[in-house]
Amino acid sequence: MPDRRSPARRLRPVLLLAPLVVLPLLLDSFSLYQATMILIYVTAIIGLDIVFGRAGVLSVAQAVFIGIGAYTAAWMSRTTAVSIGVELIVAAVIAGLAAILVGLPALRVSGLRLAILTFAFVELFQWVVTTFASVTGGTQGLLVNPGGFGTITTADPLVGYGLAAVIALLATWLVIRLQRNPIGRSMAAVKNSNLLAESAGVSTVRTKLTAFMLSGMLGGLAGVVLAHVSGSVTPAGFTVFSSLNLLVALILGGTGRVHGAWLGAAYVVLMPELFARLGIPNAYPIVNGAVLMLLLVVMPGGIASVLDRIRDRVRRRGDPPSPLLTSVPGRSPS
Amino acid sequence: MSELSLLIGGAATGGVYALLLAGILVIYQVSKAVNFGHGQFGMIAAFFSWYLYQQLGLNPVVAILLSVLTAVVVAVLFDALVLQRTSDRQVGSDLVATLGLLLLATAIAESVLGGRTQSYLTLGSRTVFDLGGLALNLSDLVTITVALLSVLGLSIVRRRTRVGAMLNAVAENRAVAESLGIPSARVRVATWALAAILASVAGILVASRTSVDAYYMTPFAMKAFIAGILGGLNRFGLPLAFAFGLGIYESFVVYLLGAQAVTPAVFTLIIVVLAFAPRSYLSEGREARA
Amino acid sequence: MATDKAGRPPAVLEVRDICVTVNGVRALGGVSFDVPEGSLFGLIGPNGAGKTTIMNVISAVITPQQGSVRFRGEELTGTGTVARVRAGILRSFQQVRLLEGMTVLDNLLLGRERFRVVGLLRQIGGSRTGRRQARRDLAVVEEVAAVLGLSDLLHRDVQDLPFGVRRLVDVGRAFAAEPDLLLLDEPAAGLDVTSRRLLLEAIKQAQRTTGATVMLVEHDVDMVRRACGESVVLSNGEVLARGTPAEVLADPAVLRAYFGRSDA
Repeated sequence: MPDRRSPARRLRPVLLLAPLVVLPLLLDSFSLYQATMILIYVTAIIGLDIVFGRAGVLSVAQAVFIGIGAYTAAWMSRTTAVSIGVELIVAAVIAGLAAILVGLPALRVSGLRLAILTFAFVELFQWVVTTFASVTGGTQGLLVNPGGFGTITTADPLVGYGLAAVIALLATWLVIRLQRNPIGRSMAAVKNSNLLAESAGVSTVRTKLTAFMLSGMLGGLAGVVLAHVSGSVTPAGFTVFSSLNLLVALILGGTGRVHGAWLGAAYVVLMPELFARLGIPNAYPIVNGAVLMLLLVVMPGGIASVLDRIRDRVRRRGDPPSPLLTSVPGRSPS
Repeated sequence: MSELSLLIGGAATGGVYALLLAGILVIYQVSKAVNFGHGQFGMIAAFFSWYLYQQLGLNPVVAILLSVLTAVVVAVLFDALVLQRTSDRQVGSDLVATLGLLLLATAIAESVLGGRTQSYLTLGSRTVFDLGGLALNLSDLVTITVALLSVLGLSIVRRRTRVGAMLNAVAENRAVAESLGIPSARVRVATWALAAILASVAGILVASRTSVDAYYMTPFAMKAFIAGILGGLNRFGLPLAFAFGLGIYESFVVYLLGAQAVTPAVFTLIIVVLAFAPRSYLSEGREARA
Repeated sequence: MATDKAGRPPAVLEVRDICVTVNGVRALGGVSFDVPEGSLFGLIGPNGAGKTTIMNVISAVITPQQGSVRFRGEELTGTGTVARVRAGILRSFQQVRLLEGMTVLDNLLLGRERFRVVGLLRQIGGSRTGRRQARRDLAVVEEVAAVLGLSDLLHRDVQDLPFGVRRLVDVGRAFAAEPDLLLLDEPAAGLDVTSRRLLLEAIKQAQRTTGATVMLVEHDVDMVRRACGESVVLSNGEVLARGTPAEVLADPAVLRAYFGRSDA
């Protein structure tokens, strides 16, 4: 397709990226840590969005994939001297394979039972981590050594930030690529109706497995950075409720939309902090529960859809309706 | 006679799964939603009754009745105010809403209890009597009896009574049922109330054997869901049989291989069923008409 | 488009002795017919005659208890929906199913899925084969859109379109797949008379341009008379008559089945 983008639209990525580069230089160390966490969550939530927002399979296993990435990084940082690049690749592969495993029941059962089974997989992960304590540290968890490339390590918060930013941008690029791409379309078809997908020649099983694999890989990458930035891993960080928090973030931000994951990530990192400062830290999980329960009733498309609607309203001014819309077949009164 | 006591202990656990699953099934069949928060109805009942008799000093019987009523009100309100208003357009929004219920109920209990566990009325779980060398726990027997009676009662109601016929009609096709003059909204309220009562009974029975905290029902709800997956959410008798069977299976696995083996053993069961059951058994029969 | 009985083209689809029982109720009891290559084939019958069921059998949405379906001489029994779509058997639905929230263009491009060969990594990263295919997909889709009168609507969200246009998009997706055999399940259902004619013309034109064999399922006799060549009449899960529309409509058995009922 010829590139019809206007100069203003070409400039947009630069304008959006600039704060990412400038911000770390202005922030104090705690805010930098929070910015890093937001970027880590962006990656993890985009992963969840691929499976739930794009392919329509509800999964509460996303925390498992983050956990696999985090434990892989923890274990490798303690036993090997490889660069963090190797850790990322290994974690992405392992988490991707685990995700395919989680999605495998799709071969035999529909989306509903698949969703329930993702629950069971979180249980399995918790069991593995607490049972094989000699490797995982059991319920105590593991301390994570700083990782990096040679002398540049995550002991420097800026390195952690940079790494998280690069991976978050990679994930964002991936999901933008998916959007108008045959794979994204087949996911949308599977989400809409299995019957529609299959009658267009889309294999629903393969599409669901692809979605799970991509989400798992992104979860794994996020987990590696999370482990290094936070310095320790414990099984309590990767429960069903951790997954539910990611789901809250995704749905609040807006499923199936690129900026939805960014907004959601900002929410899960900044909200607990806000409630803590207001002196009501207990309110955060309660608000999360209420949001998850009510949001699809009150605001089905999340914050992103509200922003989209405002943008559309601004843009559509003066755009005449297509004449064909009035002359083409209409619904008969029945 | 250790096999028999294993069987009884397992059947009691399975009975708890069955009480939860029975509610999950009627809700799924009538409201077409999987209630991920179902176990928390039981938690609400147990937690609230604990609060009433322990903190406010109410008579335990009154406390339990009031708390079951509370669980019923929560369930009915959740269906009316949340679930019925989720849009069909967004895939999985019903699942998300029930996950929200799970998260919200857990978070509230957690913030009140502050992560501590509270001991509950024993209700016979410490009473053991000897029957010819066989140690029987009163609570086990009560649980099995209550679960069996509930399941049998429910199936009789479904098959033999007018209410059951209405329930089946709404489950089959709501639009058709409504055109026949069946008050589907009232049927829906009834199923949620019934499901909440069954979950409350399960929650109180479990609490009497262990203790109360925000999370204690989650593993039980999890197993109820697994039994539902294995038996089929669109059926009734088979998944409930799976619920009892799963409890007995677990109890034998614990005895033979140790408590650590339960999770992988349950997974093995899931894999075996999913891999070898015929496709027609596993299909949910949605989207039938093109 | 009358076919000479002697020199008729070879059958693209041979349906033989299909029996389907749903929940103990017989839906199809030994249905057999041939669909000639390149024709606009009519499948007529009152509601509940088993028309959608036979389409579900052909597209492997359901498995018949008995009987066989052959496509271009090859046995299809045992293959799944996706395999049949990839072989060139496409269908539309009575109830319109679209990619909600996406554009008309995306919906038409979904029809091109059956030609996809490029793998995941190259699909995301971009490759020459992928780009070449994307160009061809776009060309075909734009042509189909032009024939169906959807060209100006390509970038509209299908959710915003009226019902009749959504129907066109559904049919267009199937045509974009360059089908060898296209099964259209009551494409005109729910449309008013004018819209029906417009839709029918669009389908006929698309069929002429692509050369596809089209099997049109209808219960509206008038529409079949206007459009179809050879036709088969189903009633109560059995073939009642076959021939040109004029022939079958003159058949007393058809008249009884049809006009003896209120829904004709």
